[in-house]
Amino acid sequence: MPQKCIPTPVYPEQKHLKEKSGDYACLKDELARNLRLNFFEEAEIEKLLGGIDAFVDKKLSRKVAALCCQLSNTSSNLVERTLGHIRSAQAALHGAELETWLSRAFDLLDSSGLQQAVSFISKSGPDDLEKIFGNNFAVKLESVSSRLELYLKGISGMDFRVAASGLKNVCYTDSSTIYLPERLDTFCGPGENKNLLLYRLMAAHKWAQVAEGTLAPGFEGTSSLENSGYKKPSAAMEAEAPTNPLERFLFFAAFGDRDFALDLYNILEAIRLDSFLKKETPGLFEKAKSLRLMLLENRDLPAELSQKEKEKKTFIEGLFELYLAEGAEDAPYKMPSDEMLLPRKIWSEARKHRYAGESALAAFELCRMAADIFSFSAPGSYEPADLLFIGRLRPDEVAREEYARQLALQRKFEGIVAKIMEMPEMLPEPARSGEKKRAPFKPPEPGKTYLLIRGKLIELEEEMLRKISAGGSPASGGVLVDGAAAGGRHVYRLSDLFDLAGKEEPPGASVEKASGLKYDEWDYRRGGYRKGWCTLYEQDVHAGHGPFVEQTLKRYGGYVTALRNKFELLRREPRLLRRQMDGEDIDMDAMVEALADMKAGLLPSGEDLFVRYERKERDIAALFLLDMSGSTKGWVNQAEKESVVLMCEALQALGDRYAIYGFSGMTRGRCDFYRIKSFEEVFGPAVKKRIAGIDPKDYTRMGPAIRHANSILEKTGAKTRLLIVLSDGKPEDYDAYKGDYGVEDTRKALMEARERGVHPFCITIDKEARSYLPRMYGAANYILIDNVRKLPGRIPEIYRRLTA
Amino acid sequence: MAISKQKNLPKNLKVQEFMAIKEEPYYLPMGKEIKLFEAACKNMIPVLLKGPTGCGKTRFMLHMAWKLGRPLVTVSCHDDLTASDVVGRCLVKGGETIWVDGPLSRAVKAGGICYLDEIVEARKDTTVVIHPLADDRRILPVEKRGETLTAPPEFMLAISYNPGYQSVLKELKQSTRQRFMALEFKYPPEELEVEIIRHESGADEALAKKLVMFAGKTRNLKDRGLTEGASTRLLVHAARLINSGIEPVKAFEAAISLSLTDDAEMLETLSEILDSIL
Repeated sequence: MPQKCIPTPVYPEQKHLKEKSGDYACLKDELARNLRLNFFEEAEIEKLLGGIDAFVDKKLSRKVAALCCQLSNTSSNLVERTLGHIRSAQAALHGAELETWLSRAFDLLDSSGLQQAVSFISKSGPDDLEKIFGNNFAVKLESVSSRLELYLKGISGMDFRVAASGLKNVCYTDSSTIYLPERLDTFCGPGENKNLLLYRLMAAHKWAQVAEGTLAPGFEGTSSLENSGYKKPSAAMEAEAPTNPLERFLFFAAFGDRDFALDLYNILEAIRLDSFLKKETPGLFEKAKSLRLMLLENRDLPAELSQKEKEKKTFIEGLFELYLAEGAEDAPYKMPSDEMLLPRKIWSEARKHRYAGESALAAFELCRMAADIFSFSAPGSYEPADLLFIGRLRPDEVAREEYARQLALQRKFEGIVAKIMEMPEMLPEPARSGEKKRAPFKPPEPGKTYLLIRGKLIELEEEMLRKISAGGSPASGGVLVDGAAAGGRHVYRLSDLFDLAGKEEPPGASVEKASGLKYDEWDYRRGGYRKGWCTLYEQDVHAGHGPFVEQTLKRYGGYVTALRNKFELLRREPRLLRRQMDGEDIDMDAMVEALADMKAGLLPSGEDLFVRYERKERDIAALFLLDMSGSTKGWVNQAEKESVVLMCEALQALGDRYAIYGFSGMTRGRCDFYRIKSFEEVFGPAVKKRIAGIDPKDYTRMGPAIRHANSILEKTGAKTRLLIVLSDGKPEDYDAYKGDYGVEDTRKALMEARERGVHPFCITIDKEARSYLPRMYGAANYILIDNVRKLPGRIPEIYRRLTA
Repeated sequence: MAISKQKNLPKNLKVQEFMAIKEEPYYLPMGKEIKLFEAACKNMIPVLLKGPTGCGKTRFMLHMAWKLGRPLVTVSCHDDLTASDVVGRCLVKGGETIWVDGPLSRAVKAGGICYLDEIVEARKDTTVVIHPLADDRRILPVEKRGETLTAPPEFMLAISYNPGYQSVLKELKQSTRQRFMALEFKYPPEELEVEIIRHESGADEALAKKLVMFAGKTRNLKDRGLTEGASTRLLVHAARLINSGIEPVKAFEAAISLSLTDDAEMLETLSEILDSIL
């Protein structure tokens, strides 16, 4: 018997724990060992361990033990203190809360290190805990960010990213990412969650800033200002002025105190943006009104300030309060009314400009007005105010983002030029029978600018075009021409051009690739995920040399033909079903028979007089995931490669969609995911070369590879999605990914696959049946092959059984 | 005019099966589609209508049938639609088999307009049946009876499909699509959509504007969790519900959000967006 399928009993949570009690003992042993190394007395150790045992909930004990164990690696003294803190926290919190609290400590340990985790744990007094658990209405950005992104996409049609600002109650945007506070607990109380509403308001306001040009005020219209007494900047000033539009604006408007001007401009713009938000999101605006009043009511006045600071601070505060209350007379302003005179003056001026629609100029005039009122004698003494949901303006971030965008554009353009230079002057005629039709001839439009390079007229994105024309000469060898002057040339779109030249990848894609994908990992000891723990890189396998595929096919000769025939039979052609109750057509045989029977005075044999066509479509996408770890070196690798070749042949005959990937890597920072054949690729020379190039690499971290395969399969949209994993034993990596940890993470990843509608099936090549297999893969979801050489012969059979 | 055409029908045809359009169906043209269709009709060119669901393709056909005074036969295609379903089949009746014309044969005989709605849904072999009808031969071979019907000049073939479902399986074959003149339908521009909603539901302008605004935002979410944005048809439904005294939020939800998606998170987002504009 080459295979063994051991039925697995179901593991409910309790049973699972019992099994893991050995593990708990291990943790304790490790802890004791660490403590001993630090010269703890046996009695002390006993006491500590007893303390851990004392937790009634065993799951909790294990968590605590895991935490202590991790701490003891650094400093054993911490263990005692930590236990004390946990105990005092236990007094204040109930079970589930305590677990959350511990999980958060773990998260901190992973993300910010020991210091942060210890200081978090040490805040175990009832007051501190009240802060954490007191407000059940607090909203975490993590849990709503994807929804906020979707919301923004909906209301704006723009693709914003949402990320944590890292600062409490601070939000800002760099024009493509909106940074929001990690957590909002401003409001509490039943009814609609106002913290969520506040998040939405923040996000919408940032969108308004981007859409209405707050972040990039135009400065072109200065000439019209000259009439109103504005002096054109002197040559000296002009020379010093920053080039970023927002900075530049502030430079001229601020007269030395940049932070003050920034806050002032921000509020003035917010007043203007109100009309935008009112038009675009009237519902949100209405709701925000009451929210703003509530915020105003709970606003704290700035603390005692020096005289110089106070002037500006109170002015900003006053103006902001007016903004919150929309200038209402009877609003609960915190500022004394005599301080409100100046702000009110500016406010009413700002309101006048609200519908003017020109941001920079109006705001500039107002900033000037404010400047006339104050003597900005002490620049730099102003601290930015807390402007709640209108957040801050970060010209530096905006400039950085803009710079990155320009740089990416520049790179992309250079890449394009380089690629075009490589292309032959005459492009190959695209195959007419192929799926891709040739783009219809497109004459150049007069009045439109095109890039003319090596005889090809290219249509560029507007932004890129602007960038090129701003940079003076385009690039080596290319010129910008007007459509009218271009003659009867064919206009290429970039994508068409690269299609024709057989280069699938647009330039610039490689930059994205380098960043890697983040995947969570399951840590069974704490019963939670480590967020974004593994970084996975998808890449092509290096093409191998030698005609491996051809040789294999030759070697298996007759078997391949038989295999093809077998699989062709699986193909479901439309079938004619005879003698049906209803159908498309009359079954003439049945009809004649029935009529003859009737004529003969017999009862007709039935009413099944129709024929019907029946066709079941195979809508299967199968992904083969190969273990390319170092341990597969030799026969296993050879067998894997041969299996792949045979599978390709079989599936080619069957017509199912399939893809082949390999995985390996070293540590969580580099999980390699090798592309051998994607779903879209055909089984051609390139794929064959890559199959030949499948070589043993490093370690076996299965979790991230399975998770990535899941997401690839999900994208196929096939009705039946099959994930077939070929491996040679236990998951193992260079770091702590071994033993139960690896098994549990793999098991979890496979469970995730099932949840996402993927059917995972694992083929393990091993000499002996291991006890962990049924637990890791789940009963009947794996097969054990004891002799490597049998694998190529068996795998098509296994596939056939799985999909029949 | 529609009536007079029907008088000339062959005797074995049942007139009532045709849609005799007596009143003008409301249609607000967005471009030159009416002119184009008329020209196609005059020159016996079959027409392909493409566009997202609920943007007015079927209404356009009704309108044109009325305008040209021809009977309209609509076949809604589905994945079990066979060639005999459209051409005709033998049925057994009292020990005899009798031939019954399918909708396509009837339309050919009567010189009407045959409109195959959502053609991609039909089986591939069914689509091929219309090929000889759709080129200059203009014939419909009825294999089972061994006869060939020749279409009169009044006969017109129109098909529709929605290119939005970007599925490999649901693509129209080149040999089919290259027989047709194509008219592209989009969601109407804002002002026109407002007018359409007002006309169809009797809603006031403010409500219609809100509906169009919401629709625009859902259309932003296409391919970000929604397969399609809200169609004009859904907006009309919502407006009608509101006119019958249903609370706006409920009506939006029932007529639009819940029709668009089952995904809980997406529904949440849609209600947040709705919240922001109502």
